[in-house]
Amino acid sequence: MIGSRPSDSSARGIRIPRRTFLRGALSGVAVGIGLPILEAMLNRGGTAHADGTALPRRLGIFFWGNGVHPDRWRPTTIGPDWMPGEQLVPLAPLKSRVTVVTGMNNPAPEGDGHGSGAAALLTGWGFKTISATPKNLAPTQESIDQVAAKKIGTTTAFKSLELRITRRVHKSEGLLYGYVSFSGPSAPNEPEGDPVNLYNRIFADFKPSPGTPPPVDATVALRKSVLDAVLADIQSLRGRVGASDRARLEQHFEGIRAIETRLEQMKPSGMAPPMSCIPPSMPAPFSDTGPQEQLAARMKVMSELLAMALACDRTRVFTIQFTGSVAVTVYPIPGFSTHQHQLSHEEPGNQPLMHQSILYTMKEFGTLVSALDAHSEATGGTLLDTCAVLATSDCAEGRSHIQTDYPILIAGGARGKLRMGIHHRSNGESTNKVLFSLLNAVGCNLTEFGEKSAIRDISVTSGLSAIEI
Amino acid sequence: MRTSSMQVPRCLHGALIRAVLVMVALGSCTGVIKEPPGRGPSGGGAGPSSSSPPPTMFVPAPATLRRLTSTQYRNTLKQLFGDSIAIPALEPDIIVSGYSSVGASTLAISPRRTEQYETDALAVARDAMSRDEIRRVIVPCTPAGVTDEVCVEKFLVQFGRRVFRRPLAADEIARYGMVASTASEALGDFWRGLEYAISGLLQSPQFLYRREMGTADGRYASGRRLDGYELASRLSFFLWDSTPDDRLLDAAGAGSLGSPTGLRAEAERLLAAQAGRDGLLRFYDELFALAGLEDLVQLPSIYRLRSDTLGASLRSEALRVFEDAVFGQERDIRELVDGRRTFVNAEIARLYGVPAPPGGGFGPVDLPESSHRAGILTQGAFLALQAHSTSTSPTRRGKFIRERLLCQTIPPPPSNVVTALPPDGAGGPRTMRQKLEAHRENAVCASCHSVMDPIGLGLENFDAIGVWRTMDAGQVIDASGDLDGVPFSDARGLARAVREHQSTVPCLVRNLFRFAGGHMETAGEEPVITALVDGFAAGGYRVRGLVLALIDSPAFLYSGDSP
Repeated sequence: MIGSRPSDSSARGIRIPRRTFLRGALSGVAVGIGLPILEAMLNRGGTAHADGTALPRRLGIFFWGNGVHPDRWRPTTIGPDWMPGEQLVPLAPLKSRVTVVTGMNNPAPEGDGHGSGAAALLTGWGFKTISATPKNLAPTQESIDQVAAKKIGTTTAFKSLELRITRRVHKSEGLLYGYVSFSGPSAPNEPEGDPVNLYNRIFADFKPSPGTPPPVDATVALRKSVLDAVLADIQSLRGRVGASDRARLEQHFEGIRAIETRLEQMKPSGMAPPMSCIPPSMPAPFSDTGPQEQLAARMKVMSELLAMALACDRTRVFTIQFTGSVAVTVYPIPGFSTHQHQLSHEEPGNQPLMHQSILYTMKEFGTLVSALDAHSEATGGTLLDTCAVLATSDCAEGRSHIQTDYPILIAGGARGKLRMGIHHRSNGESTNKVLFSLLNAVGCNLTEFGEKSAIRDISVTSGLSAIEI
Repeated sequence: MRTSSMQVPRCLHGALIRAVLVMVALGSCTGVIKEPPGRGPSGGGAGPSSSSPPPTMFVPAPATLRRLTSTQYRNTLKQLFGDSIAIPALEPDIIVSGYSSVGASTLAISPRRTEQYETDALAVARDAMSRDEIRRVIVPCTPAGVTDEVCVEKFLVQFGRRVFRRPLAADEIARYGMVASTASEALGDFWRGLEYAISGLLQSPQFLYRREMGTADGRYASGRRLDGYELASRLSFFLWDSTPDDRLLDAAGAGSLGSPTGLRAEAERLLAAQAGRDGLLRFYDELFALAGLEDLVQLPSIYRLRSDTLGASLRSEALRVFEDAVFGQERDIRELVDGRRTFVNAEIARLYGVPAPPGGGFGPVDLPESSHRAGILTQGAFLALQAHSTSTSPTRRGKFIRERLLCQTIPPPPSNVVTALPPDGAGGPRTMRQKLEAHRENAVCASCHSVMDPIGLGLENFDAIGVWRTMDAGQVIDASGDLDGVPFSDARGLARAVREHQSTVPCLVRNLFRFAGGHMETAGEEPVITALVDGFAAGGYRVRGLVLALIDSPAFLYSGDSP
């Protein structure tokens, strides 16, 4: 509902000396604003703030399309110190930081696989065919990053960040193929693919200023007054529209309130940012126009910006659409002259080019993991230790669209909640158990997760204990 | 064998029906081709076997908030502030069911887009209010000082009506007047006060969305007739892809859009303006998904004529042909499918093997009778978009014709089927037709592919960027086939068969209806579709007439209750 907030948000808000409040324009509900953590504010062990509130955990998703070749991807050993299958070799140097889960199945396989796989792995629900022609597939539920964002993203400048690496995403057959993050069935979160835009969005207004606070910028208050007027217009409109439009206006309302939150944070705090937060300089413009895409170069700059956004606590939730469902990306691999989806279906034999592209994707997930692992945390360990990052795909294997034995990677330990560096082989359990584990590892406190509706019940009430601590 | 979920139009011939029966026996793909309701295929017979016949009484579709598309937003800003205003980038529209207008009527905006609206509104307002030449045009008074409430109100009454596309209510004037006075006092500058008020108007949902509430007039049980201002917006955003001008708003205020003649007069005025082409060109662009041409996947190393500008040239060609047929020559639109008129520049002339027009730009060409090319299916735009990056794709081409031009449904391939086509075997390279035989050998594949591949194979003489060729893998190309019982021997024959296909014209009407209404047609709107199709035929298939008939239809004039 417009104007309402999770009732416990203030209890979870980071307690800081100069805690500020923002009046919700319509609700009058106080909004707690988080500011970067000072080391001095931690308790002696560094496990929590001095007053006992939990330190931030972060959730991320790295998504690619068309799966892997499961028999060549799967580790050859079970348990710790897994031995990579040939397609996991690029992640071997990081294997102590990455857990591999195999043998888990989409609990609601349907249609050509790309759609139901994306829906299951991103939302834990089945999908919906809005119309067969033109083909229009949509999710039926928010994606798990947004589930987490509602819980752990309420005090940061951005409740979540959505990034895109490939230029080419299959968008002509509905939201399900085109997006990774959904605030609701008809509320896709458009990802940012341009490094300069991403930088501007996260850091242009972010100027941590130790010492004496500089003078207040009058225009910040004026922008706030404008947003108040806009919120009043939304409020007067929402009573006169149907339920689905009301939901759309609520999303709009949330977006404006997020801007207000950031405006509030722009008020100089006079506090030092966390040790590892060093706002970067603007990256060089990124131009990439050829048929083959420069994925690695984009991934590198985007990963570094993202890692700093997390280190500066600008957000705690992110998704990366490395490639989309149905992946129509042309990889920068010699001989790769068509998009991956076509290749996945048409390359004969043991698919040497597909194999190369899977290796490429694994290496680039490694780029993200390494970027997160390069930031030391005030509390010891690295940024990666505070994260739970899921990497997965729409199909287990693109060629056959199979929905069993999904490739699932989990990087990071969510501050001691997840086991890192093991290979767990499941006997066909539901992928929803993994999503359940991840959401609870970052603090969602779920007792049940996944679709439980008149159409199907694929909900789970426990996670995958093998990966939990 | 026949079930309610399996709908086999009788236009499908024996071989296909046998394949369908095999397929059903295997329990895989159901309902190979489904016609939309209302009009079944011709030639007699049952047509669609949907459980309930379409209603005979029109029922308006539920009202929705229709957000301005990114293009409409940009066009509107230009109309409000003049062409010199710096127009910011906005995140791209999301196409739903083929059209950005449907996406803009159904989807919520992301937090990022909300941020962009704020940034854009501030930048545009700043730009406008810092320039005297814009202030003179849009502010109807000279301020008496840093604060001048009378002037602010005059401005909001006049400019606010343009932004909200209706007169502002008193509380809205007060709200944005307060923003202006707060800002002008804080910054000591009257114009900066207006700047903040404008930035608010441009972020308001009353600007960003079109509300189509209407008033119940008793004509339809669940419908309300749109008021004049709401109709003015529908008209203008449909035809101009932009906001109503003052004259249209005046007509709305005077009540003249309430009569069919008054509405038609304004529709014709809008269509006669240069901007009156923008809406329909946008429709055609989205119908063929021409935006994809800006990022072609075909490699220059394989396709010699694939330049960095080829895609944009092909998009321009396709739009010019449509524009000429609708606004220039006002042709029977079916000629688009098999006509010889096109527009080429130097690189398209090379692609087609015709003389380049003098002067360097685009020029009209009437392809000779002997040309292998005729109509939109042989344009590079369609051929390149519906191809792979290293080969043609008869499947994609056939699928597009079935789904987009005939409005038929083809189910997705089943799960757990290896879809790789067999490689060239020991007998040497094989033609595309030979490779696609694999689709026919497997009954599960054949059930759907047999309605796509044979049509697409009719275009095999055109490679993946549309260059004419006669050989594939060392063999002479056989481009013969049949479309639902009408045999053809080459692309020209296929074009004629598509032109004459029973579903082609109704499908075009459906597409225009979706684009204009921002939603998929509902069952309750079928009577209007039927009437439009009949009128279109009676009028000789002139798109202009179809557009005017659509505007005059109850689907355009009414909106229904929203749950």
